[in-house]
Amino acid sequence: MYNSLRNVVILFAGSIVLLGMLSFSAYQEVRESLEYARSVEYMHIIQHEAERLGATVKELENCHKGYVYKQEAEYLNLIFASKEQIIRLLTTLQQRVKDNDSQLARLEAFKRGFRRHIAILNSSIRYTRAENKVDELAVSKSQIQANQMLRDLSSFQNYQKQLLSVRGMQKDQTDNQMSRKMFLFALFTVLLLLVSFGLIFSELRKRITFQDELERKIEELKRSNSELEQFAYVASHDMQEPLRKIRAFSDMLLIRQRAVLNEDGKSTLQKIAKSSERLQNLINDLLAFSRLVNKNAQNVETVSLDTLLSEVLKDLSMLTIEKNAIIEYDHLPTISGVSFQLHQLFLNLISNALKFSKNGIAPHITIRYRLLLGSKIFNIQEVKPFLTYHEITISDNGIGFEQEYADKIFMIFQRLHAKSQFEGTGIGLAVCKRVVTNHNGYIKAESVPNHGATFTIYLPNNRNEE
Amino acid sequence: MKHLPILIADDDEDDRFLIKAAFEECGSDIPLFFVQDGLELMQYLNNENAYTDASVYKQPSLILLDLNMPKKDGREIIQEMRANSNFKAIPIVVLSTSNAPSDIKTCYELGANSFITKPSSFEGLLEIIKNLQQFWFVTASLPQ
Repeated sequence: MYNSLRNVVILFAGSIVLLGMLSFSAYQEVRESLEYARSVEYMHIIQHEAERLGATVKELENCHKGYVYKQEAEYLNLIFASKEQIIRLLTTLQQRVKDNDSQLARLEAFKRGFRRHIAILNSSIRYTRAENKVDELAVSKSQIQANQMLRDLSSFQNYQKQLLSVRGMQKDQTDNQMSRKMFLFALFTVLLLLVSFGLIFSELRKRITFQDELERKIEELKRSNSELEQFAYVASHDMQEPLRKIRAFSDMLLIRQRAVLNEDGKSTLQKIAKSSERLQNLINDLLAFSRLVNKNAQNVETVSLDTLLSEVLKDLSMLTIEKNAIIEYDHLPTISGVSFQLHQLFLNLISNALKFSKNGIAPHITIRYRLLLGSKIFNIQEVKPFLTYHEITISDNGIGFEQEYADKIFMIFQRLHAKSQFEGTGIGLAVCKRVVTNHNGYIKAESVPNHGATFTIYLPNNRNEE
Repeated sequence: MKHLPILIADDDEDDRFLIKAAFEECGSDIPLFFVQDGLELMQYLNNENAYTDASVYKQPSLILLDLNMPKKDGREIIQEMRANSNFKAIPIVVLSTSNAPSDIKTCYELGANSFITKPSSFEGLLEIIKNLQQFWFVTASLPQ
């Protein structure tokens, strides 16, 4: 039962961990996608700037040609602006790819080319301004240099493109991996949840079946119990009638025929009377016991065990004096219970202690009390470890009994001694056990032959319920 | 002087026999009449059916009543008699096997004059009959 519960807990814990991992992966995936998008955008910006750089280089070259062929001052301004533009763009690009050495090297090559180009350009312009004609050689050199720069730039751009496609591929790969991982996680989670659901369901079904069975058993038990109670009551009640008559008639015979009966007849009638008296006692006890079992007739009240004990001791005072007995007792608690039953309990236990004393030795009876936790009570499995119990022990120095009979003595009409040795029907301890059970308590007996007996009662502390 | 009879209602033949024997043993001269159930008891009191001759079946001075009888039980009898002005004054002594506190209380509440549990020995019965005679016919005064 607890095993399956543990399994369910483990499965649920596993599912929760998997779900956590799943959401973490999803979060990572989203973050990576965002990062990728940003880096793609960045690359596009770089590409765009590089294109603008290329266009400005062409523009510069065109302005150079325009100036040397047309010799309009306007072109000089444009050349200046283009140069500025190229320097600005180059600086920006350098800044953008500062983590990539190979791209920086390409930009450096471009920059060197640009410097040469400017040098050629300047000498060409100077020449034109001074001579008023075109230095054809410088113009073609400048064109070659510009082309070289454009080639450098396009290698930069190509590399950037490659980088982009590599990034894309990497992204695809990680996307694939991630989605496979997430799919697996999800699949596993669903599987675990399904299994735990199955476990819970089967456990629930099992429990419902158990519960049904239990309810049916309880119902059955109740019925057979009430039938038994009725049976015991009716049987003993109806047995009383004929028995009463047997006693009355044999009694009448003895009284009315006393004159004609011989000794044998009289002693036989006396034997009948004695046997029927004993049967009467047994039936009376059985009746009393069956009334005890019938819980309906019990009213629970607050009972001071101290007062109750002093009443019991008063009831037993004759026997106590006769036997010269010493009875020591602790202060006892006040509990809620059925007064006459508890009276019966103490009366039976103490009178037993008095009855089963050793020949010639005055009985010494000790009644001890303490309050203790259920977990401190050993040998009784049913006690609840977290409830507190009243422990009352009644010990004597009497003849005791063999420990192996410790359970048997609580059974109805069980006796350990011959009737001639100790009188009684053998119901006393059965009544004790029943009374204690009625009060949701436990009773146990311990003894060593010839070294006295100890009866221990555990009654639940009623304050537990408050 | 001649006493009015005692009417004894008991469905158990043995008990009737034992009660009769006990009265004889005590040397009582009070006439006894026996009925077997409540219905017959009411017939006796009303001088009906077999009991029409009122000179023989005189109104009893005392009734010994068993509780559990067929047809009409002791409790009903007490109730009926206490509700009828003719029989209201007749003392009723319940003589039953029951010793249940609830039975005892009910009987007194309904108007029984005493409640005696049937003893289990003949000697006990003798004692009770002697006491009854002593109390009701010597110590106490009965309505005439």
